[in-house]
Amino acid sequence: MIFRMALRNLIRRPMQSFLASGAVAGCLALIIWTCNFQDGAWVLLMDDTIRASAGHVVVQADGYQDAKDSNLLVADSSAIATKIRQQNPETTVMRRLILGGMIASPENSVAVGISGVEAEAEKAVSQIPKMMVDGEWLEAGTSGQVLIGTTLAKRLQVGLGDKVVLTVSYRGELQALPFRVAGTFTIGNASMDNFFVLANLPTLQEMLPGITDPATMISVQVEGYKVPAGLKASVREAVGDGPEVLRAEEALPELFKAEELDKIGGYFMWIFIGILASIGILNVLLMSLFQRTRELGMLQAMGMRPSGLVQLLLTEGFLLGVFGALLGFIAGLAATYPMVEYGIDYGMINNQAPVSGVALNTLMKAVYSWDKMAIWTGFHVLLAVLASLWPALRAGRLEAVESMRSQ
Amino acid sequence: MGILTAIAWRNLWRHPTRTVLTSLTMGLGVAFCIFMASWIGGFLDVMRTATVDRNLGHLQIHHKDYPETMNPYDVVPQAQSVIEGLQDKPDVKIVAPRIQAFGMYAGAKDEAASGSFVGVDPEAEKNLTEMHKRVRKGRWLKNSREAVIGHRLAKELNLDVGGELLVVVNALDGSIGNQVYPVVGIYNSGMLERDGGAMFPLQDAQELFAMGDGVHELVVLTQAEEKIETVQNSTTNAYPDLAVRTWYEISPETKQMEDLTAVTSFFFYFIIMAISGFMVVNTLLMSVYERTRELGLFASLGLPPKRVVMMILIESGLLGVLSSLLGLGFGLLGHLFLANYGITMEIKEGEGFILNGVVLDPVIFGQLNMTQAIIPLVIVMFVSVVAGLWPARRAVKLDPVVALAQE
Amino acid sequence: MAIVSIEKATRHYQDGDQVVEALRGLDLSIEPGEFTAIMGPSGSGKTTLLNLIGGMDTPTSGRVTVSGKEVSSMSKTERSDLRRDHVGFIFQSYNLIPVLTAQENTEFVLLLQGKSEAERNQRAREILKAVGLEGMEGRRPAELSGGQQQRVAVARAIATKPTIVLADEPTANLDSETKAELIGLMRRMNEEEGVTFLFSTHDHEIIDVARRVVTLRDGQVSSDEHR
Repeated sequence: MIFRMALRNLIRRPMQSFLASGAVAGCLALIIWTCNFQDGAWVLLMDDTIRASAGHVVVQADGYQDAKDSNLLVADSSAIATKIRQQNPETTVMRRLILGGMIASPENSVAVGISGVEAEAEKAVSQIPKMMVDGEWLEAGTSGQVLIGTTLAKRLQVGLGDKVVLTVSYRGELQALPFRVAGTFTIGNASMDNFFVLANLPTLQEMLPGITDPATMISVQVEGYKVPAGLKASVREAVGDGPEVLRAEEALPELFKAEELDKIGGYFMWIFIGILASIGILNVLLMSLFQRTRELGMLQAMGMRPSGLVQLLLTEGFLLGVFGALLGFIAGLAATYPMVEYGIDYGMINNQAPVSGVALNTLMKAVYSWDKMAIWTGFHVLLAVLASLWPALRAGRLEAVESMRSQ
Repeated sequence: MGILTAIAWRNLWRHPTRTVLTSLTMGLGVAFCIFMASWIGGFLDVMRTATVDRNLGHLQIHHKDYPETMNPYDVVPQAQSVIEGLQDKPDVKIVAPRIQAFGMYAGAKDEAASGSFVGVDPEAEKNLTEMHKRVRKGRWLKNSREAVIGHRLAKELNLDVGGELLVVVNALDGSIGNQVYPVVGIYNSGMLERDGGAMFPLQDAQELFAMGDGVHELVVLTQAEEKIETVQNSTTNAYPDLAVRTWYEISPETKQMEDLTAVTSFFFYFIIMAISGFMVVNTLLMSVYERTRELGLFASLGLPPKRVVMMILIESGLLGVLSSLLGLGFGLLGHLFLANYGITMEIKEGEGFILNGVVLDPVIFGQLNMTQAIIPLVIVMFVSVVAGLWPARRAVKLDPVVALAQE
Repeated sequence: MAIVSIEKATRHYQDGDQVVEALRGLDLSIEPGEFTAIMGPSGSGKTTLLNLIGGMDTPTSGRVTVSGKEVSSMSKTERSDLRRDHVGFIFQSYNLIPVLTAQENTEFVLLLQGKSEAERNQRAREILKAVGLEGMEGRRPAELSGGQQQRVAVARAIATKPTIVLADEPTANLDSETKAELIGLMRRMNEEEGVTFLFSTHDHEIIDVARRVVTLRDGQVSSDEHR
């Protein structure tokens, strides 16, 4: 009966109830929307970055992670990659050779970062194939191909098919080799479009004397962006002692730190919005208490205990919360839907990655983070109940005579 | 008007809890907007410091082809006379010439690397970008025939202050220029590209590249931000053959971030608006409901409907003022906290986010301009008054007889 | 054995700067089955007296005993329970719970007592039938006339078979025909069910049928007339 009374009390004041639960709903919808969007953005960013610049687990020469010294290379990389594949057949394994060097045309020379990749494997995980302006992605087995950014091409005054010379330094020796421009790309990030060169791994390997089949990293990748629990140990087993084996979190601490900071900022904002919503409910419930003092006095006259009054008002708060949360949940989902289906192309806002040297997908899509949506929805119901605590306790303290006398 | 204001004010304090809670919600909303503005302002400031103050300056002058090609042959013609002409302008504070090129570097050991090569006027650069403050070890350039190197290059070459740096460049006359310089300092400019290279006194650079007294770049700092376009126009008129660009033309990313911020702020203002509107409508509607009888009395005393509306609008306006004051108070408190203590956004030890190849300072101190603090106040005032219209309309639609019959 | 006994009860209120002495050493006792009217001018202490008996208020000094229990020393919760189990209230302005139907309003106190649903339901139907509201159980207060609402209030007050029903000017808002019906109803309940009624009233039609009339003046009993 208390439940029924509470419900009917709310229905009796549709405007107030609507305003109070509307405040909850609006805030919750906003939180759900931004939360899903933020998660979506990070899933994408993490996924792109992990795949393009490390791997879910990555194998590197011992000390490379700290020194980032391009002289630290893993030898016999394909043998190691094959072992990893045998041990973990569900994974994709690819090798990369990352060198510093210089690219020169008859007109100009520019210091660049050079990435030697396995054409087919890299095509599947890199965003650059989608960003080609001219020419084609690297072809496996064709030697002497390079891909460069459009701005770099302008600086070198070269176009498709033109000759450029790559100079790399390895253990103090400079090695130069001619290449032909097989394609140009625009990533939208000035440092990538200016200072980044892609070439086939085998061709680049030829430039390094005295080391067989070298690679800077062997990247082990799986579906999704979460790193499976046992993967690192199993890769370590396949690799044996010597090179360092790192999980994505260890290989890309900046990325994970940036995610953490961004999410902390989000929580801060959301909790603040939640507080605003709960003050809104508190206000409405307090008002409704003042207006109903006489009615509550009568309930006391009939022998309802103070605890009964507290229960009644808490139930009202709870119902407001549930109703508002439900409404907000639905509205939040509805607002998320187009973001999940179509996304926003933020290409106009420039390509910003917390880890430099990664081409990001510019179509940002939201995801449904069910667990977080559930938590926030519950949190809002809780807020409503907490907000009704004060009015409820006040109702419990009412003196029967006083309340009967009020109008 | 006076008596209406008095009635409106006293009406507000008939339910102090309600009035306080309502203005607290709106005030917290306003405070949040101000705090966000301060935070974003601080972030933009960090970004500007990192890009404009430490590198770009207000204006840059190049050979007209240089921005596109960055070709070392495209030097500023008659640089010396351009510099003198600029220095004569009263709006110009500092003019600093630079040589921007690439070099291959080697240390005493076997290591070699390529990186940026920047020739500067040590004194001018000191005043313009305060590069001397970015020297982490050793000292800034003072004499000729010495070099300072970036911390990344130092690590790569395993080179320390007191060591010797071998530089090899393609000189403009087609010869290979090479020279050994003592390393007097190691800097951390926060610019990934520059930190992987070295800086030299201008004249040494000109000699090495066999480029006479040519320079690639003139960086201009004007007396004030507002003077930038004036100086740009007059310089373009005086030297139509040169490319004269403002920092925001050179680095549109920074500008884009500012625009993006405007969108974000708008988003927050919208939320605040919605929540405030909700609260005011709620409070005033209730206040009108419970005063039905009293409003009937006013009508029966012959108060014209217009003035009843006026009275309620004054009430909502006062609520808006109260909220604004609360919000301004809390907001400024938040801002002062942020301005004095700052918030650390550390991605790596001592380093903040990386934006377009530039490492931002990790600690963000609040920065607020008064417009940003005032906009949310104006919005809340506006929303309060507009939200008062509905209850006011309801109040005048009351029939005095019916209203008086109400208990 | 008196079901209500009041000894030297005083009740003082603070009203602004002034102390209002609503009761000044009042003595009264009520026997079971009485149908008593309390009359007196405004401010003579009628409502305060009813509030003390109903445990809504406590005396400044003196003793109030209901069903052998001392009210003045009870906690708030104990007084709630006293009202629930021993006292029925009827008010001038009906005071039904607006969101509940006639049936639910009647059941409400039984619910507070923890009676089973079947028992509640049956008792409420019975009593609503007795007060002549058969067929209107599902209506909410707003859908009933003033007289009908007050019948629901009577039904609610006697549903728990209370020791005493306190009625504060129950007829003040009713027209004379409805009033006569309601008084007849309460009289019948008194005679047939043995419910004890205590009225505060100015209404001569109640005073005419009352078997005991107590007159208050300045917070004391000025006359006590049994008929």
